[in-house]
Amino acid sequence: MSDNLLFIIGTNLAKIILFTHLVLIFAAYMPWVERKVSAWMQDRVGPNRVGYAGLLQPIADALKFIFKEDAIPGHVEKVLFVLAPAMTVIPALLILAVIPFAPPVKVLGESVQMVIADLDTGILFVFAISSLSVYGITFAGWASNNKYSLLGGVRSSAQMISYEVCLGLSVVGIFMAAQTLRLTDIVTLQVDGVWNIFTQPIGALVFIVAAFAETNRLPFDLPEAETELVAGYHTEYGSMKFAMFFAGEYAAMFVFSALVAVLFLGGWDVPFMSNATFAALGNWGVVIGMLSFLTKVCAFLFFYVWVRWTIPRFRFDQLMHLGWKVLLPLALVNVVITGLWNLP
Amino acid sequence: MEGLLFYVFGGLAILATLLTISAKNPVYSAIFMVISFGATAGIFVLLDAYLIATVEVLVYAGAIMVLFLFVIMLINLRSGEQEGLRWSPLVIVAAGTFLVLLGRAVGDLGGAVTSKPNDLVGSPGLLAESLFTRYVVPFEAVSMLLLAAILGTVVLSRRKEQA
Repeated sequence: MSDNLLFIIGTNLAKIILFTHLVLIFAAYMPWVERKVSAWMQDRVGPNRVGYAGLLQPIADALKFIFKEDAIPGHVEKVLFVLAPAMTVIPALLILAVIPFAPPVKVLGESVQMVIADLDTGILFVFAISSLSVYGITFAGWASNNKYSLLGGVRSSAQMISYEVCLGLSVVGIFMAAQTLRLTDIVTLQVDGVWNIFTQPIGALVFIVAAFAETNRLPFDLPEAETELVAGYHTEYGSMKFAMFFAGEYAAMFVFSALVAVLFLGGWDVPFMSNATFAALGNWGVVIGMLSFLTKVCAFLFFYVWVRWTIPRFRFDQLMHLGWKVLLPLALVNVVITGLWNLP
Repeated sequence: MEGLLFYVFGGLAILATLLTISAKNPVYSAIFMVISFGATAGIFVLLDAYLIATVEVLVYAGAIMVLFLFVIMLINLRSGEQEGLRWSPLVIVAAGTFLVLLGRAVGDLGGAVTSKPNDLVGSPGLLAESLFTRYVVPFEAVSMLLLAAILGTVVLSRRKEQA
């Protein structure tokens, strides 16, 4: 690590700008992907009017949202009503800080980690921030001052608390084996060894299911179940505020896909390459690693969409049953098995 | 820089806590409390105690306050307007006792604390090692106590079985 202050500030700023924009571009294009994939699965054409294959659709949508009247209904709690959409976007972008995108890059002869903050407590930071993301939806539901919105908000807080427990417990096995919480260390261990999805299949399963619930995606989108709650917590929202809920949801999907890639799919690892190979390739290794990482993220994002158009929504009691009586014991069993396996 | 940040976080924590007890609406009280926890976490970060900062946010802001909010929103939906801060003799006695105890604690420190605590608080590995070796008996005793409390709550809140 260099002691040059300018160098540290410069590299960190570059990383922050690069990574956040990457996520925002993904978040903007996910609705297009979602519509195209659903069209494909249902034998339709999907968006194809704006630009080639409808590729300019997100820009058209954004323009439409910006030019719509930003109406605030008279019966809402104004401060929280305005703050809530932002509070769903911010946590997703904050989690990004600890996700390693690629192997360390060489800049001006110095080695720079391709992660904004290489924290000792890595994954705990992720859980801390993701536990805050429930506030956006809860406040949106409460501030809307509407019974359907409130029900959506209350549902989401119950759902997210329940599944956070599973989410946290599902990765304990990884740390017991890796003996570190630092995400870059977990990836380097996987690059030289085996991907965690093979050593921790139960943990991976629980984590993936809980990740769907944490991002409020089908089959767990009960906070906005339109058949019973109109549109849940965003019933009263319009124009850009409504778009921000979407941006928040898609940013969270990117972040959780990235976490699945880092924790279970080897991060920037490419099969048959070791840390030494990456180091020997120099900065080309960084490019290959980043492409590999983004490929995994895209694959998992596709999986998100695939599941959404395949599996119907759960009932609320089924959701709670699955969380507390199936996933939680499974995660605990995983911890016990990992403990026995790694006995010294 | 660190000194400045300390005053920013400290001031924010005190301000948010004051607003917590004076806000008229319990939902806003809860929000200010979350901000107060966040500011406290910031102070822990300044002390290099990243683990404690993270756990503060994870446990208090992320889990406990969400539960509080959940209950507040379910119980008083619209009739939630409270009277705000009231000065009863009991409050003054409690606050006075707290101030005296705080004064004693600060006095015992003997001047300003300038050195940072050692790595023990900052690193998950070292913390876990002391929890599971040196302090393993108190640690397990506390978890047994918590378990008993949880069981008690479950038993008390259970509905009577209908005959």
